Amino acid sequence: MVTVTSADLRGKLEDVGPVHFLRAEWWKESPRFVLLRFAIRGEEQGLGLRLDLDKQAILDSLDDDQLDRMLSEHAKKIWAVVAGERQRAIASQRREHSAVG
Amino acid sequence: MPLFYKGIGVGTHHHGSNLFSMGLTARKPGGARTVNALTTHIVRGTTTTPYISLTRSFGVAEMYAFASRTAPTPANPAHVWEIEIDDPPPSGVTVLDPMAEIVTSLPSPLAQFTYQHDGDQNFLLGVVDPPGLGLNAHLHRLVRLPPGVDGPRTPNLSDELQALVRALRDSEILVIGTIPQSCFRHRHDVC
Repeated sequence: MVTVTSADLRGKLEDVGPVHFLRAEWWKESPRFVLLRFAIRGEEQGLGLRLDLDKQAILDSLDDDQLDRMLSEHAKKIWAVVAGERQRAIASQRREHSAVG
Repeated sequence: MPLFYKGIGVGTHHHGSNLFSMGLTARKPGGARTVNALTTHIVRGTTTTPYISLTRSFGVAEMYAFASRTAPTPANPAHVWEIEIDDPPPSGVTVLDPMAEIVTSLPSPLAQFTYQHDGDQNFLLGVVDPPGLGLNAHLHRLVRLPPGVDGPRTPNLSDELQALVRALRDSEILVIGTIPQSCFRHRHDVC
């Protein structure tokens, strides 16, 4: 079973329409992707949005053309923040492992 | 018969579908079928297109299956579907090698604008960008320019080059039409 690692995104990303980003999740089995967890009107959604780190694109649709377009326009900004947070979390994990070792 | 694989993550469009009984249709079967649309499908990861991406590699399909909209678990696994497509393919199904489609559309080598990059010999590593290796920096290394030429700038990276490299990396094959249920051989659970 996958082991989920996450980074808090609250306050680090602007909302896109009603989409309020909560955290980024990833697991080593799909290293090219990060899952963006988000809330709409204060309610966390059961399914996240997949961010392809390589293509710097959000792969999923929220079945709302205008919102999908807005997310697509914000994808590079989102990618820049999320990639940085992920790098920091990975570096911190490595430091902890080497300190334990 | 050649075998192909399709990774389907938890919560993604076809995850809840039984492809043994339904077959598989692209999300936008009536969409534009042009080399430009095909290139965008590969480069931007656009899923609302007339193309279905398959791969010759189980490992690549498995990585795409793990790219789920919620973490796969034994109770709710992602799937890798095994697909056999005859030659010739079933009626209404077109199978495309994206490399061949893009290569035949490339401009003349004498054209002003080219798909080729003008970076250094490591530039392609940045385009392939294996996860976790940090090779993306090769994309941003400044171009070496002869004296007197305006700069600095980063290398040219065309959509065509990105599509060619990524299609090769993912052993990608594209299908237009509905892959009939009879082509689906096996479903592997992934979690």
